[in-house]
Amino acid sequence: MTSLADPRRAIEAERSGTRIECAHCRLPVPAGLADVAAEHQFCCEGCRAVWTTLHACGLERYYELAAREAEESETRPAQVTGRRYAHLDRPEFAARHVRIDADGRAGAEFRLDGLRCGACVWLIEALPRIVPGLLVLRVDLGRSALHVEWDPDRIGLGSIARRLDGLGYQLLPLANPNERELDRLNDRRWLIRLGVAAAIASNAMAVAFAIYGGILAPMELGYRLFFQWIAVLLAVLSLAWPGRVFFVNAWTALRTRTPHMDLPVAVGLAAMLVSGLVNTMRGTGSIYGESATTLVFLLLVGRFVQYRQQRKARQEIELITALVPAVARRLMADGSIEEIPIDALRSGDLVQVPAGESVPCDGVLRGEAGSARTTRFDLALLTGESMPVGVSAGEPVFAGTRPLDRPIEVEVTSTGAETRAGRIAALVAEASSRRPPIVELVNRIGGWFLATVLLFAFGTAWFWWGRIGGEAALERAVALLVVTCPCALGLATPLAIMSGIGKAARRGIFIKGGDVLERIAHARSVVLDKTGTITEGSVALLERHGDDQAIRLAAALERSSAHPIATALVAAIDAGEFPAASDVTERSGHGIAGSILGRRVAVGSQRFMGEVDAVLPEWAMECARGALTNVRSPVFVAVDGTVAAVVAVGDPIRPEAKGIIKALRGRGHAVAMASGDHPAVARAVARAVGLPEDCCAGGLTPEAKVDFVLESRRAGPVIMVGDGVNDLAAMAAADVGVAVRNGAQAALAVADVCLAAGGVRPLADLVAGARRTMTTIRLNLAISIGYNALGATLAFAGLVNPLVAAILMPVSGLTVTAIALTMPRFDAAPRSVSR
Amino acid sequence: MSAIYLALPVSLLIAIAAVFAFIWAARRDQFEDLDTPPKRMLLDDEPSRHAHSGDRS
Repeated sequence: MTSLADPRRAIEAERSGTRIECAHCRLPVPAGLADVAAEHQFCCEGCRAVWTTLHACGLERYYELAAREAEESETRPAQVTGRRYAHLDRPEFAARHVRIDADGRAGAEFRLDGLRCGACVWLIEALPRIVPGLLVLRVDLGRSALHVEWDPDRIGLGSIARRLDGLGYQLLPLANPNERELDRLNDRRWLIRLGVAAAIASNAMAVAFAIYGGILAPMELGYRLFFQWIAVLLAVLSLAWPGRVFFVNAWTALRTRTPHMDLPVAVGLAAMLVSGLVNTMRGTGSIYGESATTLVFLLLVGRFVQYRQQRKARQEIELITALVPAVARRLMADGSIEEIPIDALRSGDLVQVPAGESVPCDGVLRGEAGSARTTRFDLALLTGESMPVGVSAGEPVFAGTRPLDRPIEVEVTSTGAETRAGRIAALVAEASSRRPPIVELVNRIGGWFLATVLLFAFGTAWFWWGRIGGEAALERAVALLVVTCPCALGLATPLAIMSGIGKAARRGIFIKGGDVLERIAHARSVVLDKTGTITEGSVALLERHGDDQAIRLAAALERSSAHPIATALVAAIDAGEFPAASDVTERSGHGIAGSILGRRVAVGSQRFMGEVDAVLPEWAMECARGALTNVRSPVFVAVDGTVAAVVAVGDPIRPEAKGIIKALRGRGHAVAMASGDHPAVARAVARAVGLPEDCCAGGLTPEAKVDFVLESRRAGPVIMVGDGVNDLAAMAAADVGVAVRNGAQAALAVADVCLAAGGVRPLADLVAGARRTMTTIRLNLAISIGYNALGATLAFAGLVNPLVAAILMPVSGLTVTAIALTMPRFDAAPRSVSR
Repeated sequence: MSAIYLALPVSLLIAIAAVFAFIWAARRDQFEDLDTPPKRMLLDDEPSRHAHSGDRS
């Protein structure tokens, strides 16, 4: 499967001017794989297999549909794994995942990998017509989910999965099928609650307009009573139906004696309702129809956002574990291979892992002992390191990493939660739960505000009762209640936050909640990951010395290799005029040699130069030493037995990193770097971006990164910026996790902030914008509290009657709204930073 | 003006009908997946051959 065409090869084919499209995925076919004689060209065996299957089944229409969808979807080669999926037919799997309904139909939900666009939906949902016994397939694109219904007497789940696999889609069992169903029901309950609350609030608002209109132009008592009764009935409905959740929570809080934000909210809402009812029966005073219903709606919106965030975090933890395959290919004593679920693996078992697939367990790499032959591994999941790392026999390998160049055998030491990937998932879960619960600002202030105002109102009535008589005392209390309407206060925070988040989003900064802004504004230190955050996260050509033609020959030779260094060379150097190399031999991890136009070309390490007996002049060694001090890997190019050129490759530092770090430090943030790479590499990068060496730590495991963040947290709140799964736990342990573009999917989801604009450039904007938003909120709170305090004092003194109060009430709300919508800006970071 | 005694309850009844329509839709998972159905609608099948394919069992 390593020969799977990747886009890098596509670039190469394009360079050589012979662009041939793959008949299945439409990506260019690598020059080496093109078969001039054949009618249809394929970029890889996966695509060929899928194309053949589709034509054999009469599903060619897929290509027509895919062409129509092409603009909005990415394309990639089909991946056919050829797994047996035997574990899906086991009774223990059926017991956990499969439901059988009354007609004997079986049904189950899965995650589906390989979905791209609408054409996939058509293709998959057309399958039941061709496969007997398969009744329904239903795709959910947004969630990459698949609902399957089949007749268990005619077909097995394993054979359905094999069919889908043959088309390039992998069926993955859900980790927790019951939980998914529960989430679905909860989502629906929230949706209904929100919808009903919004409908009641808008109707109450309409009625309230009529009532306030009546204050200005007096209307007959009959009409007024009519409106008031309707308004109060709507308020009762709103509190009893969607708002019931607050009372239920408050009651639980009372019973268990644990203070809860819903308690003051419930008291306030109940007091509003009671005084509204009493006033309606008395026929005078405010009935709070629109205030109570709007408050219920706004509070519910806050709760809903919070609920969604928590659920998302939980699902992403699941996602990390999903990166580790659920099935292992166990090698039996007789040499045959059996597919079994990883739960059934025992330590000491032998497992075979095809090249390019993830290792399902932690274990020890098998092979001839003492053999110098190493297998290159992609360890990105664990270390975030961009370069493949060589592992030799007898050394440990970890779940979730991938062997790149050949199939391997692993002796199992631990599986599941015991693996390093499993422990990282547990760390993420633990770190997320350690974070203080998100308390929506609306609740925090709104609830206590209501309680305070009611207390004041009762105080006012009680104080004046004996002095100026019951009627006048009540009037002052009601005026106080009206003039201190919580609308302005309730709106102040959410509006400023919404406006801040909206403006940030327009600049490619996606913030996942108001509390995040608050935490960013208070952050003291910023911890940056190196690979992919400060650096580009990919290998690129950084230096070239010596003969230009030799370098072009090297690039021509490297076209036939998939090694990252080869990719970097091919991408940076135009070798268009040279034909493909012949007699190519590649020594994994060392170099590559071949002939082009009769010249012998060798590209590789110093050791490889020795192996091909190439002469190494002193200037070349000088260049290599220079590259090494800058932590770049030198690569020698020998033509006809003499080294003619030296190039150096490395992970380039993002050009804007230095300026951003300087700007952050200028604003008083402590900036630190935590890297999984070798400490020497980390120090070199720190030097290059102007960070003192004591602020940078290298060679950190994901676990050590968490400790690093926790250590920094002692001095104050921490923002952790990273891109990979290896940063996940650290991001969750920090007060704010920021994921930079092109990061791992799981990283994007666990993060509180995602930067879509590329690199760390938006980081300075983010910090400055968050501070400005918090200033706006404080200003708004000060204005509305000041206004309310003034209004309450005037009402207490009898200087405001309810009519004037009702007119004045919206003024504070309008002021606050105007400030909230105009103030927070995310673009005011000094522009020089980005240059 | 007395028409308001009729107009307001009628408008509330309409609102109630809308709320119940919304709940009905939510209970039938109409808001479950907002991405796939619009695609599915556009990716219609060839009209003739498999008119009732979905129900075949």
